[in-house]
Amino acid sequence: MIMKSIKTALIVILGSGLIFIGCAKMPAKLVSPTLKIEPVVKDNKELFKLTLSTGIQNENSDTAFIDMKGLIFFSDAGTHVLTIPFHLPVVLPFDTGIIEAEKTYSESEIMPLVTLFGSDKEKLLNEKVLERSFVDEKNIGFELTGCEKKNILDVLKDKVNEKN
Amino acid sequence: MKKIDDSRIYLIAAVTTLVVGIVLGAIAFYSILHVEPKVEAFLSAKDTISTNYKRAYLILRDPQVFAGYGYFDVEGVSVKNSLTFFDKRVYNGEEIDANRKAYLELLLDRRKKGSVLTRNTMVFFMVLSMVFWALFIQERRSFKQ
Repeated sequence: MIMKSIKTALIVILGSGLIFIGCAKMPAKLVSPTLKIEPVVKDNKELFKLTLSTGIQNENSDTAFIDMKGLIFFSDAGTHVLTIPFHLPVVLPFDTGIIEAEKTYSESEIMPLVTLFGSDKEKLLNEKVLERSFVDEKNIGFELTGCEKKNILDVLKDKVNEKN
Repeated sequence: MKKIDDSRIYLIAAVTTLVVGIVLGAIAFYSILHVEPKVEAFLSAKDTISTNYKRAYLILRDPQVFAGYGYFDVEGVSVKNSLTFFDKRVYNGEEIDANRKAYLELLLDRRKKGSVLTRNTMVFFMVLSMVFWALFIQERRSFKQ
């Protein structure tokens, strides 16, 4: 009877221990995306420069994201109108990986995005810039194509050993 | 009316609380007797301060079970900020100077509080276990009679 009771007690302890096992929380949205589109002339061609500034927050206390690769997309009713690749070498716990992207596009490539933000070519050329500080969450998002999750302690120990 | 033998339930409860108490005690006293003095020794170093502080931080980065870094109240924000600061410093291979000692002590203080909480919880489970053992013995005796 005693052995059976001890067995049951161990099952109770291990079972309740499972409740405390968690896993790394992946970032779900971009932090404060700001966007700027400016007309530029390059090699006598009329092009449009897109500057995007945003961040990806790591809300975990003990997991670092290494080699975070992915695509930021702008979407209109579920259809991607433009995608921008990004790469963050490391995002430490409680930190925000800053993404600063700058890319030049042709008129046909950028116009769906300009239209999405309520402007058009003429307006953009007249005003010289289209700027949006608050981009609606349904118009911008990201998907990860690669990311290594590593315990922060291992990352820091590797760094300290690397230096020694 | 037929009396039901509850001794098995008391025995399971007594063993469970005893095992939990022992595990908690081991966790608490490992931190109190081994980890915290080690960190204090690194923090009181007079030379190669940066290296010793980094060693202390690597120990403190692994939190005490009852003082994890997952959730913070208003008071804990300083701990969260310290973690962000030191993670960056250590990752980038930057020096940690003597002025930062107070922030490492803040992390040590959190660990100490966690150890005290674990020790107190251990006492609670031990008392609970004793109560269940007493009930178990009493139940066995009354059933035999």
